[in-house]
Amino acid sequence: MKCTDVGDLVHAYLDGELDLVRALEMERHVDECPRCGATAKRQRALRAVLATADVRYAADPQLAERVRARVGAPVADAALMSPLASAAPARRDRRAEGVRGVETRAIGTTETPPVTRRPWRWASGAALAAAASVVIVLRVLVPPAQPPLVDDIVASHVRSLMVDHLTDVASSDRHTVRPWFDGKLDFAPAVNDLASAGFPLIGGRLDYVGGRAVAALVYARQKHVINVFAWPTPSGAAEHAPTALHGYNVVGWTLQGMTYWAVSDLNAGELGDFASRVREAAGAS
Amino acid sequence: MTERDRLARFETALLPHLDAAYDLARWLTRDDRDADDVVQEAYLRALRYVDGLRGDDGRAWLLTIVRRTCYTWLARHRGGHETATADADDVADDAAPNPEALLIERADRDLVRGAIGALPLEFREVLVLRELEELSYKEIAAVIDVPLGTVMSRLARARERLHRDLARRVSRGG
Repeated sequence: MKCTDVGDLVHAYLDGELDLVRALEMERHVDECPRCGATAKRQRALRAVLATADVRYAADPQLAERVRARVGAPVADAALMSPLASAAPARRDRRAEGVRGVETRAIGTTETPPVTRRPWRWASGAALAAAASVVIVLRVLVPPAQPPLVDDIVASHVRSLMVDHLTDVASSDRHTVRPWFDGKLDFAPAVNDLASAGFPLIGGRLDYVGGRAVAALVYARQKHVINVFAWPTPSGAAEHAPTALHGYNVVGWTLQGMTYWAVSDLNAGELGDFASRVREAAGAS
Repeated sequence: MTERDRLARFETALLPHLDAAYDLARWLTRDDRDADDVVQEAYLRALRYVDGLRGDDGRAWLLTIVRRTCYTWLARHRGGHETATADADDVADDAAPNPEALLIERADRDLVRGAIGALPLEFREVLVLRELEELSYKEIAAVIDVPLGTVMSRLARARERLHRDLARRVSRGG
């Protein structure tokens, strides 16, 4: 392994983010390469400092109560533990009124000890508009807007490229790749020979997607890598709408009790072509 | 999900991560009281969307909301200056370590906090999420919405920069 191939991987290595094979390679490289060795030494020193300096900030002990009051959650358990227990009934009154949210948060604070340290500074018209726009943004950014499976598939694809651990079994022969999965998985994925269509098989590996072990089949299109993840599903046949995430195209389908997802930086058209060829090959077999 | 279920979910999946939420908010806003406010606002939003939380570990999910809330807060109260990305100082990333570089172990808590606080926002957040909140690369990628490879490279630059800055601060005595 040359140093120029390594780049920032020394950090992934120190963070335990590499698979075993790659981690062992990095371990050797860090021993041999003065530059990466120095980086590792600096980073271990930094980590030691961060571990002992205790720089994390602790929340105010009353913050949990303020949060409960803010969202209208019961505070009974907090009241048991809290020196401010006497304030709890008043907060329950607020909840009974259905008072919740930015617009109304000042109500009920006059006759009780303040539940927050100061008035909420966003409570102006302009700020409410800004908050509304955040809500819209959040709808896009926060799961479930993006199917978590697609996230997982793209993350696995990127990881397979990042750690240079594309295949556990490297072979362009499907009669080598398919039997390799025997005994490793409780199902047999369809492995196709699409070399004549310009999608040579590179190999296969085990991966983990959506909380289960899956087969990952690796194909190529010129310099592009295509990962196909496969696992069994009870339902019959379906095609999932093609999607894109972080610049990767993703297409999925279910056929003959197996779900397949193909992901690549290949353009959507060619990936779609690839997917239909895999489906045809599976249908013909 | 009924209101009662949502509040139960809130208690079991989100409130246990209050310390992580506060720590992240405190590092991003760099102010105790602002962090307090941001955390309350973030939890209010989290409750609204708690139906969408899958699994029982709401930490990365909650931190995503905390971070977005911080960014909105920063844009509103600090005119967006805080959201500026790494400045030109970063070109020194590959500079040879200076002789004091390994003396950073002398750095005390205030000095380390000062150095982390001085990092540009995009470096500060990955460093805090990894080193202090101990999220995986995958979780960080989800929280800050960038690819895994970007998490790795940004973290690498953040650490090199922090190390250099710490060495500088130690050598001039804080």
